Amino acid sequence: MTELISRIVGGLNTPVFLTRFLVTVLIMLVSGAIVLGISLLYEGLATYAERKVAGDIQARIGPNRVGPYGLLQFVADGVKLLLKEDIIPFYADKWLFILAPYIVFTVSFAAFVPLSYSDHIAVANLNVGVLYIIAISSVVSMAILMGAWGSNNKWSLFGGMRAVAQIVSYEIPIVLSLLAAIILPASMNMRDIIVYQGGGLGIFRWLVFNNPFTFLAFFVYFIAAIAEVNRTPFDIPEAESEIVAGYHTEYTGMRFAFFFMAEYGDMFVVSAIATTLFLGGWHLPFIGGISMPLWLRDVLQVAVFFMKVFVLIYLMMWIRWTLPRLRVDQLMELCWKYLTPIAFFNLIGASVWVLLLHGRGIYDIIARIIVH
Amino acid sequence: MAGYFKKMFTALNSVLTGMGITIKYGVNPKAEVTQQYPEVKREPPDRFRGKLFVNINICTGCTACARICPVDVITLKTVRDENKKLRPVIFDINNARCIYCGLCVEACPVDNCLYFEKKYEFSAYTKEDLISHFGLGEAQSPGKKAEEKTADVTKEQKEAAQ
Repeated sequence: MTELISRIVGGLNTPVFLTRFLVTVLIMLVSGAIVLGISLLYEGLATYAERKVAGDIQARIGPNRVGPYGLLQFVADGVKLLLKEDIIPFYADKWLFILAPYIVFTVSFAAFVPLSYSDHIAVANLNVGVLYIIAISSVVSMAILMGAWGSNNKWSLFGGMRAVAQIVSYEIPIVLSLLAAIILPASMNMRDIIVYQGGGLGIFRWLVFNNPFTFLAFFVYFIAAIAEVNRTPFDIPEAESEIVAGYHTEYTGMRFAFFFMAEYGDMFVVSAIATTLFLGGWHLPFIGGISMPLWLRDVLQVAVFFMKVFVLIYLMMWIRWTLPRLRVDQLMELCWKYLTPIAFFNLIGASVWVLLLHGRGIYDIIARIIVH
Repeated sequence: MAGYFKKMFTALNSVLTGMGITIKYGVNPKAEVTQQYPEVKREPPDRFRGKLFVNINICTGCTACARICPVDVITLKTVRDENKKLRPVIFDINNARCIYCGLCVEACPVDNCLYFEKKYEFSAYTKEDLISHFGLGEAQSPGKKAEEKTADVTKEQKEAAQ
């Protein structure tokens, strides 16, 4: 794609510095548009999937009227939200109120950037990918508080405060359990981390199977990640039965839709991080060694990556429609008394493991014993 | 310390039990109990109270139903025909007002004369459309006086007998 754009711009006979500038801007725009299009489509289908999964679990049918199997339901919902009246409360802080949904959505969209979708497909190959995602997803808490404060509504403010407390608390187990995984490949680049997990039939060298500590870290990360994206059973920032709708009580129409889409975008991102760091990313299981054309390999890798992500998203939906909501003090207790100590224990354990065994995983040790 | 780990184990155990129950429904598409109403209609139970129906040909015009009705649903006018028998010329049931208490059905002395049908889809655009007319005279000669209606009815019945 870079070559194509350089060739198009190169034909324009512009000065060198301008050509470079144009190429950079065009690459940014095109890749941004691609990711935005795919993520919007995904978010639409994810709302449909969520309602279908909810229906299945509650022995209902779910949406089935609009289009075949109700697949176009999200289009109808989107049109409805676009046509709704856009209400800004009279006493709201208009700047904060208007700005907040855009920041929430932009941030969740920006987190798609450093992900590595296949061996050759990535929006940006950042060398600090993991750090970038952790940093950018924390901005969500600020935007949520902005919207909550700007609404000038007590329920919104309570929701915003709860959201910030929850996100800030759960960042700690998330970062610690990610660290336990990162010390093995010794890189924060998403692609490097995935490449490190190659071999072993494409399954047994996943970091989640590397040693007992990373195995535990995966579950700590996943539980904390559900809390990070404010989903049931950790949805106290928008608990309907307690504080109406939490921080988006006052939002209507498309502004509400931005919050809604950001939630599903965040779900994808945390699942993609779990896939990348623990579940071997885009490595093809069993058929990785077979020689095949490059494009086919890329397509299969993207398919495998998305499949792993969708399994995790299904798991999140399954948890959402099973478990009741936690109380605020229970939520904090789970984070500070259970997840954080376990994550620390994992980090130390994984570090000792790496020091003593020089980064060899359980699979490597077993393979060596069998070979000798 | 033992309590700490026990608590973790209990939490994990209960979460997994709950998730095990929900996944049984989640993966089984036949577990759905929803019926798609306009396409699939449920057979109403035996004693279902739907729309009231009068078998007007065996009605004796005793007005027991009209008298017992607590909400004045039934408008009943009778005249005597030439055999000195009471004939209901006007028998209107206002479905908009009916509370489906079933008192009229119990009061009716004739078997299978006044009873509830299993019909429940009879919404209408005006209140007038909700009134169902069963009277003998209504169909043939609307607007005529009661005596004339009776004459029409008896004439018709004679013709039918021959």
